[in-house]
Amino acid sequence: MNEFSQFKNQEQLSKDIFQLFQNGIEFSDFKIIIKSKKETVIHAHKAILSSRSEYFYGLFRSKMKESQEGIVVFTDVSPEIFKLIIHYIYTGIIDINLNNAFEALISARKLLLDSGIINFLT
Amino acid sequence: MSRKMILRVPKFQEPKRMEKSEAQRLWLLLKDAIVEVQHMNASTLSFEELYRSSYSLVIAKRGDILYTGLEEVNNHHTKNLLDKIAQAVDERFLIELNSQWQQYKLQQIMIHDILMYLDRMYVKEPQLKVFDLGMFKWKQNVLIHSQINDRLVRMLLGLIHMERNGEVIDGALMKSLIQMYVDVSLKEKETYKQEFEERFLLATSHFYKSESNLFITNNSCGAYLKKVEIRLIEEEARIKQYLDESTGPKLIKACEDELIANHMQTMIEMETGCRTMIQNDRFNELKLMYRLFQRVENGLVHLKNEFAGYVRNEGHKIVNQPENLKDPNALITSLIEIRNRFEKTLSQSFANNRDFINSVNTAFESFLNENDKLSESLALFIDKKLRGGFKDSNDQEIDVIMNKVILLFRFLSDKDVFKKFYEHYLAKRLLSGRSFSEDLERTMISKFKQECGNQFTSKMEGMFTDMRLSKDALDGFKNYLQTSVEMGKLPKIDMSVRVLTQGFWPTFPPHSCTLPPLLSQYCDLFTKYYCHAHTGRRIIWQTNIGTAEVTFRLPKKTHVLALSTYQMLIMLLFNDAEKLSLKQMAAGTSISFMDIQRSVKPLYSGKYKVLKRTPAVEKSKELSENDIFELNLNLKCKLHRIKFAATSQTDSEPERQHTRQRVDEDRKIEIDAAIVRIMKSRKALIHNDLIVECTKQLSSRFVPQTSMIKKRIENLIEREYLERFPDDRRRYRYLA
Repeated sequence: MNEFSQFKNQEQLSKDIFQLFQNGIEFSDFKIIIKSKKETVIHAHKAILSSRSEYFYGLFRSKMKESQEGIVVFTDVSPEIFKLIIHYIYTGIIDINLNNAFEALISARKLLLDSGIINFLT
Repeated sequence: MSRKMILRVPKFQEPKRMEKSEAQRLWLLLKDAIVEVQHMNASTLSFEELYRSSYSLVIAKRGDILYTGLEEVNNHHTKNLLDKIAQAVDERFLIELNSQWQQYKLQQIMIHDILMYLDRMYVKEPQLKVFDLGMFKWKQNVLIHSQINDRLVRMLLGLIHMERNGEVIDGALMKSLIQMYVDVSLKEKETYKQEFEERFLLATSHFYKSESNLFITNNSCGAYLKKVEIRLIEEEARIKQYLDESTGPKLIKACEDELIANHMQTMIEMETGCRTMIQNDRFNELKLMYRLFQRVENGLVHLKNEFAGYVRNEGHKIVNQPENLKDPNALITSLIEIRNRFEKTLSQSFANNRDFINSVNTAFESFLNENDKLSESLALFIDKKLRGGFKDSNDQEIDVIMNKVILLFRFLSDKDVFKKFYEHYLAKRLLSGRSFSEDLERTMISKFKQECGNQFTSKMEGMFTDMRLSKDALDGFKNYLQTSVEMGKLPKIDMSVRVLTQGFWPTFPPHSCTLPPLLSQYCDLFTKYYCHAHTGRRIIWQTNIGTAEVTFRLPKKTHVLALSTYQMLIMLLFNDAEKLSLKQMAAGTSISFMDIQRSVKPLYSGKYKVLKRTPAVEKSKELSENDIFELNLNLKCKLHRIKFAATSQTDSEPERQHTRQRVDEDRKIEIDAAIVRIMKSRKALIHNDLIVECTKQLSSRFVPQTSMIKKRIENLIEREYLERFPDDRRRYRYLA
């Protein structure tokens, strides 16, 4: 094998990390509650959230109420939109349409996601 | 997935303009939270709520309220902190300052996290980022405040001073406080440099200036060097422990200036300094000195010059020592010894630095050529070794000595003089059969060949060829004698002849003498035989360098005397006479009076006396023409064979003069050739250029004197190789 060859399989990486998310409570160390008409509970992982969003990085670092209790409550986003966002956080992939693009942008900006997704949505 | 997606996004809708009261409410909420953070009560606050509040203010374009508010809160807080810290007594001051600072830094991180959206979306240059704003307020209101800054720097420098004096201080505290100056610097560590580093470097220079002055006056140079090395290691450690790494090079430079650069001259000259170390071969101390001097500008130049100066001086002493001038062997042995010694210094102390080696070599060149006898001494030294001096050495030792000889030889500027002497002694060794080993002779010659090329050794090699051919010729002659008719009539003697090609061998001064008839006949026979075998050759007999064995019959005993040809002739005269004066000897043998003198001396003044002077006179008295000698019939000697030196001295002054003269003759030819070579290619040349070019061309063999070149030019003009330009007398033209 050539000394400088490289093997890349980011698709598999996305798939596997998302599997972690889909496994729900297993290994999860943080809960996100979306409060709109009803309450939606999402089981997530500090390591993933803090490395993908500066908002979450600050949230965990500041050791305020949320990081102490392991729960954050969002009231300014719908479960549908947040699911798009969390999918992007775990996989780097987002599927949007004309109806949800704007709301997704607002949420992505608030959570200070990477500039790539912000530019794409703008 | 860089697929370009075209989306029709509904036009960005401005959020409804926020009521002023709502904005005020959000700010107050944030302000309360910030104050809580500043009191370390953050754990009950909701990050999401605070973040959302700041976010809402920013998207409602109310970031200004937030930013100005933050500035005020920070201002107020830091002013409070100042009072608190300034009140601390000296013992508590640094600890209090440090703990407040550590907390403040954490708070600022938290405030930054809550206000991240503001930081990203609102703050624009030249406004400071949220965290930098916090740092700036600390710097403005606490750190550079007159109640803090001087006190802090003074205490930090005081602690460093204590540590330099051997006390233990809290390194972590130092690191945190010094790092504070870096943290509050907005760009390029300017606060750190201005407020701390500059004063620290000054204090450092000051400390080491007084320490080094005191230490060097009370201690030896070696102790001082060790102290300096330890100090430098300590300062390196200090950089790692609590200074900013950017200070490293500046700190080390300041130390090197004070500890090394300022004391270089002293370290060289002081009683225990560089000179003494070199004199006493203190390799380790010198090595340390080299390492330290290397760190400062021009440091090694000082050390190198000192060393080279010492080498030149030692060499000068050796080549001018009266005992050494008399004893070539001692001279060369001492030179090899100091060469070995300095090579050891070079390798053990000076890392075999090229510049050092070169300057030592230059020193050798200069003192070796101070003395014009060196060429001859070197040739004599090898002569002694090759006559048997190598007997007790193994191959490796011999090789080492030969290489040292070559090394010294390399420094000689008049290599042609050496060559002449070498050839002279080689000829003597070969002709007297005193060469210890032909292999070693050839090894030595091959080393010269490697050094100077074929031309240098072609004559020497020719001598060896002659020796071999002579043996063949002699065998042939012996066969010839057995078959020859004339042989039957002659009594048999054992004659050995060496045929030397003219040109290969040194020209021995021509001396004539009358051989006894029998010998003369043998010589004629040989001439006849040889010229028959090699037509076109002419034989000139050089009787003065021959040897002979003579039977000496005493009444009770018989001895065999090994003599030179001249001595044989003198002794043979006593077959027909009881007493002879020197004058009579000269007449009977046709040998010059001077040679008679020199040949007779070993016969009557050595350990075994075969002649005695009558009447007996003091030994020291000079011989005169009328001194009378007779055979010493009372000779007492247990040896059967007695060997006599050919002349009274190993090599007499006239002979040496003769060698010198021949060198000069050869030089004339070399110079002529060089001038003609140069002029042939350049056609026309100005006088000075010709001299320079000529000197350059000959420098590998000898250094020609300008006056000699001038004479040769004149001579070449006379012989019409060159002419002067009619309009410019200083220019020469080559005449083809």
